[in-house]
Amino acid sequence: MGDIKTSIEKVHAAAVDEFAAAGDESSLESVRVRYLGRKGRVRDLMGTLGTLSPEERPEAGRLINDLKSRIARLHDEKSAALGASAGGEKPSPETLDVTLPGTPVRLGRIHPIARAAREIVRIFAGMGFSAVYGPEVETVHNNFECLNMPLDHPSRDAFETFFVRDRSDVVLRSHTSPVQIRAMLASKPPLRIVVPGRTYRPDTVDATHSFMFDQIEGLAVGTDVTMADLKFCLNEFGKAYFGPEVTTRFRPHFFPFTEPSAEMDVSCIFCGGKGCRVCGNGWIEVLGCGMVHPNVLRAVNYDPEEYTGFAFGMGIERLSMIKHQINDLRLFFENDIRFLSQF
Amino acid sequence: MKASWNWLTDYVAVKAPAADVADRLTMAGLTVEDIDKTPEDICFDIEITSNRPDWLSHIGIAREIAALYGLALHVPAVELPPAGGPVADEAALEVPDADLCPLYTGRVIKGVKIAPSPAWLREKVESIGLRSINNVVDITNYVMYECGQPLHAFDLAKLAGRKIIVRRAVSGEQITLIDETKHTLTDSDLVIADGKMPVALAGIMGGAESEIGDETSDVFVESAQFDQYSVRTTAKRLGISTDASYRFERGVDVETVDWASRRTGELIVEIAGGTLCEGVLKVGVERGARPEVRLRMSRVRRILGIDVPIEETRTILASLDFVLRGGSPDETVVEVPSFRGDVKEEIDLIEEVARIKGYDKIPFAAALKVAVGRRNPREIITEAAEEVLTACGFYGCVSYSLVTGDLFRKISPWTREDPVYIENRPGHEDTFLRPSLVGSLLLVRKTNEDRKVPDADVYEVAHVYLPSSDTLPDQPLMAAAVTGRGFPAAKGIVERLFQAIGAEAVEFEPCDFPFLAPGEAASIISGGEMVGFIGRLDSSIVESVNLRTGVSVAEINLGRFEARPRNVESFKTLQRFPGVERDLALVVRESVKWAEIVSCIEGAGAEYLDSISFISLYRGKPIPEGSKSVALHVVFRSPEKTLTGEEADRTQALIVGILSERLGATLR
Repeated sequence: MGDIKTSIEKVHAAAVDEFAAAGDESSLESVRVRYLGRKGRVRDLMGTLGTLSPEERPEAGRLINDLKSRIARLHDEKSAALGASAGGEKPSPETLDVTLPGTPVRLGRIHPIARAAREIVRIFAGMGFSAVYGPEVETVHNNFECLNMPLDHPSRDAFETFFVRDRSDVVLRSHTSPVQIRAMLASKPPLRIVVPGRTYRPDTVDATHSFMFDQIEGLAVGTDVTMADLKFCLNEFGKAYFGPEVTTRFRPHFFPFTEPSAEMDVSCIFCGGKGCRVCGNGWIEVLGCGMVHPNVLRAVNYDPEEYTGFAFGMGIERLSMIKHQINDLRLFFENDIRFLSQF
Repeated sequence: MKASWNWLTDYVAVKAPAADVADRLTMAGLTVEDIDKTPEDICFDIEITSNRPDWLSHIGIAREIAALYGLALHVPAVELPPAGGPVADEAALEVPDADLCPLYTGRVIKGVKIAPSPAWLREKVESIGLRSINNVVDITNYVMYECGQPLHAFDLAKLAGRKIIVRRAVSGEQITLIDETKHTLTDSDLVIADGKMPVALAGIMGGAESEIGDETSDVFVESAQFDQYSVRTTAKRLGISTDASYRFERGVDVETVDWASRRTGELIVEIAGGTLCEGVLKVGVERGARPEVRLRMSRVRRILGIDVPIEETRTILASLDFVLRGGSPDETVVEVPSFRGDVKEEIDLIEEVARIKGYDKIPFAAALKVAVGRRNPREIITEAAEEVLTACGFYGCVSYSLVTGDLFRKISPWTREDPVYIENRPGHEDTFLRPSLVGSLLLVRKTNEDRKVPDADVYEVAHVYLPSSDTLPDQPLMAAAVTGRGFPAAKGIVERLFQAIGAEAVEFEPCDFPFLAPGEAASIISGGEMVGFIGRLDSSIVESVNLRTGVSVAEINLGRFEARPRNVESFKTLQRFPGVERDLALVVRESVKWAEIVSCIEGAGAEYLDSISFISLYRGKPIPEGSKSVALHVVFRSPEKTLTGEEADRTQALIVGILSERLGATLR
């Protein structure tokens, strides 16, 4: 054991001298091969391990490995020194232009719709809402009838629908609201959910219309849910999503599945509510909402005398377009990397 | 609905400025979208929701202004001029299809003189963007915009047999309308016919044949209520929408029908002269439903979250022409006026109270109990997958679920059946729901190439749709990716993704999907079921999409792993003792797969085996034909001690022995 330790230190001492003596890249390389190569001196030492007793071998092996890395370090240091004196890899303080761009890192991005949906879901999670999902191909019963939208009523005009071929009872959902029905049928109140997902209406595609778009729906049902709760939650949402400085207002509106119904406007985030080219009158419409209609509660066997609730729905692309000043809805679906990489 | 400020003030003496009124209307649910000022007048463009046909008139909007400002509404009293001979001597009325026409009335004015409208009438109709036609037609439009009841004037002399019959069309009957369009009717369309043929599409538009012209002398004025579904169905089928059909579809007030008829008669005689015949031809019921609805103060509080004094609720409802019918200190009973078909139950009254009082009187005040928003397994799994993909340089995409064309039919790994087709996309009869996301991503890559963004690595997480014998198709959630990287690089990403979503025991097996290059395709198996695939895209598809370079594609049924509890990583002790590393070069037959070598080594029962990794593959001299050399790196380690060389040698010998025995492998 003593012998091998001596040998190791001899080799190391010799290596220190030889690496120091190497004056250029090619002599450095030949020194490296002499010590670290396949037939180098370190390898030779390894070969002597077999002569040792089994008890001694592990320790000797560790020492030789140690030697290997010590020599490798000698090599690296010398290599760096040679490079620097040749004006190579290691620049002097005068020649490094710190304003040059760093080496690009290739990272992807999630889609801006997914990003907005995540953000919205998280805001509502903070108010006790859990995300749930439902099918995009849905029954007419869930998409319309349970939502207080009888057949052939003009209220369905705004909800023109794609039908599955040869099926009068199956549609592509025209809103995320049918998931409310599924969620209420699946559990008893209290209930607080948000539902992100794709929806479909046969619109012609242009800068503000698409036959496919994304919505987030929300629903809170309990024994004590009022319109004041609705206003609180959605006002908080408006501030969380668009900024603490925005204010909200609620205008009466009509939706078949809520009553009283409202549309929520936020004060324009561009002009602060004074009125500008984007908003016109200082307000931007962002979502529809209201107290759940008793007929909807009845459709899922909730007693409207016992339970009340509020619901809301918003277009994810629309919110994202407002927030990021995106001027054309089609950009979301073209998936041009130059667009996707901006968000 | 366009409404003129001057016209509104005929019915309500509002002193507030127009801009203030526009604001109050907006905040009461009549959204004023545009205000057009002229030197003489101000025109509001108001969005009227489909539940409020009563707002499709100046009186209806004036009633709202009166309620909001606490003012009186003045509805003009109609004073009929002295009558001539009985109307029954001039015309006859039959309504065989009364189910589609609950009320029909006809009045006749004889000896009118058709002429341009007087200035005041012309200004009225022009103030809301209508074109002035002649005095009689303008009067019918004026009265419709005044009270919401559509009217139609026929030239009585052109009605065969001076007869009006309200009936369903005979299938195949034709009519040419005032706008010169010709339509073929079915037996579900309601028409107004004379003794011979249809002369108007009921509630939609009059016919050209019986139109009022300059020579018209005797006028038949129709004021009626038609079934709203019938009007809607016919109007939709024929693609016609008129001011009249718009109102009938939403429902007109049956109790306004006669008022509108008398008002029209009065104005025609006043402006166009002639004599009003005595009486009215009438079939149907004039009295509307006027349900009584109870409003409990306790419910107002339960819904709105505020207390509204009962006196205030009564004042509000009375101002909207609800008739107070009684009550107690805790509740009010009202009779709903006939023009408020939208009010059926208590919640409708609560909305009226809230609307007029103002939604802004309800505070931002949460009494909601504390609850915890829980993360859905789908969110967790999707975000885990997206974390891996974005870290590897992939961009998330959202592409259309509705697709057309052969590309999407060819890439259908999840089903052999036809895709789920979709109706009503005019011009896109081939539309179906995509059975895989891969086709869309290929097109995204192509779009980016065309726009000089080369080598786009893209992914999408979305549903695909597979035919099923259930009511709804299967709609599993997929994650798919397309990359310019080669198979091994793509597989490395997919493996990392499976690890991130906590999927264990996933196996890759050779497969031959026609859209993947032969020999460079694997299906991914878990629990005996295909949960994904990966491969190089077949060159025929690369060419058909016109991609510049070949790509690797993969698609994984993400939803399949959603129901499982996500792998919670358990900590593994960090090894303190050094491992012994060995590189082995094995010569095996060509057919031996890496997976077999690994399972052979793992199954050898070697005590100190720590890990196995792949180094390289070599074919060629001196390896014999039909064999290959597989270089691999093994680490032997004990958690308790530093291994001796002998222990490592013994372990290696055990492994090599089994490899030789099971796979015929030899060490190089």
